[in-house]
Amino acid sequence: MSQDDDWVRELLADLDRPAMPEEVARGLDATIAAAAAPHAVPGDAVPVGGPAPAGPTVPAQAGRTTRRHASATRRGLLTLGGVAAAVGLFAMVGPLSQPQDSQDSAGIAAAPRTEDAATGAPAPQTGTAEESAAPNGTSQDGTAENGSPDDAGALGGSAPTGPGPGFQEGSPAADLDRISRAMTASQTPYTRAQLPAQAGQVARTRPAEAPATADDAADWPAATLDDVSACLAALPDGAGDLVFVDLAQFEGRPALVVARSIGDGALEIFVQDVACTATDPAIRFRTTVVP
Amino acid sequence: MAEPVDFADAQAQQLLRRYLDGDPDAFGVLARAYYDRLWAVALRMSGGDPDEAADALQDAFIAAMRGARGFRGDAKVSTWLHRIVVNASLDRHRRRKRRAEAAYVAEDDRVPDPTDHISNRELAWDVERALARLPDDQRAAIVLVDVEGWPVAEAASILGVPAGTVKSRCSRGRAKLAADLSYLRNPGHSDGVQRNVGDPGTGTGQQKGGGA
Repeated sequence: MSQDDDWVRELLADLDRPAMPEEVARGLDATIAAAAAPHAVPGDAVPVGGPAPAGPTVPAQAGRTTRRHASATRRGLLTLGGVAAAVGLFAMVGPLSQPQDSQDSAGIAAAPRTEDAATGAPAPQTGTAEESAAPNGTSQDGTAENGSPDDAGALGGSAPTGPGPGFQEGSPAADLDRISRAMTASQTPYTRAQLPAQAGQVARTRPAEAPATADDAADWPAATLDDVSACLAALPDGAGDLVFVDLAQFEGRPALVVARSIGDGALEIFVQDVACTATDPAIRFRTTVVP
Repeated sequence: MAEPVDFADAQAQQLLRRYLDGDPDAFGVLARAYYDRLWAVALRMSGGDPDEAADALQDAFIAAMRGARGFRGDAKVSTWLHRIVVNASLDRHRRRKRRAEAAYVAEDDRVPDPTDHISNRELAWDVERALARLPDDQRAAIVLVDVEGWPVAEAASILGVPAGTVKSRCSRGRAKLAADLSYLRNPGHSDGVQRNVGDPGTGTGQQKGGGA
């Protein structure tokens, strides 16, 4: 062992072990408690038609503000905004903001901070079994849903959306197409407590080919597809594996509720404030639902 | 939150069995015993990004619960959990390489004046940043062996590589750290590092070492 090694090793050994922050511990407690819900070890087979396991919920970490790749993506999406309009995929107009919000120089509302996320409070577990998602890619009546067991099938009837015919996979136009086909306006009054069950329900029942229109989301601030795309791009890992984007209300206020497949039938749910931008996802709440 | 406990591997295995037998609280008790240890590893594996570390731990615990039936008991529970956390951290880190340059690395790249006395806190910060700059495989080996104090054989089990590979990764990593942190070295000091010993609010952390 060289002397160089010795002093470096001493430096390393002297490093403190950082304690896990309380909010992280609470989030993990909630995840574990929900995933360990009585009747099933995660990954075990659950009888079709039996009670659905509660989905684990993980609150967003305090102060979580993930920003990456967003600007470039938004630039690309903005230039192609007309493409989406041309194919009639989504027709809302106006800024993605609440009227009462102050506007910055770009006309985008100043993002209210992630008030729900900042609390770091653990979300209660899912609601009743009746409301909860059906496990293992089957609906509660035992019929198989769309999609493979590895995608959204376990929680959502709709598989993650892919580009429609005529679009090149991965192209900006295909991204817009994919997003627009994931759009819905379920009128679900999402709450923190019921979010996993509600999102699972929307994933199962959302019409696969019925994009939202302005009329569907009458209570929702008007937005362009570009704006929604930008908000999605600001999320961690962008807008990949979308299952649905619901123009809805969360705790009584307009929000984007975004569900993404993260494999094994699990969904990652983000609730974004309507003031989200390409550089600020404005995440109000985040949870993971495991079948 | 209940206070974590540190217990022997036999107790950990018992809790795992209870969880598999349907005790809904058993895995939580087991996990909490390792929260800080696993957090430290995940945080350093993520280059100091707490969001990434939290996500990696969440991924890891879900994976552990899903894979608990596959745990054969031929390794310590703590080794098994660390392996899952390290893999989850590496997976996330690979997927988000760009962002992973953040945290410690992105702060500032000043090269301090070697004549400065630096506080222990600054010293630790510099070491953390240098650690974050190491290649993933070397950082993983160093975090486990040199920072967390795992024996090389256990670290090899966690990383799924031969012990010799762990040793060589540690050796290469230390060499990089030595070069990166050379401005800290002061042979005139007893431990070879110049530091302001009287710096308040610092000190060594909890006892580190192998798992239960």
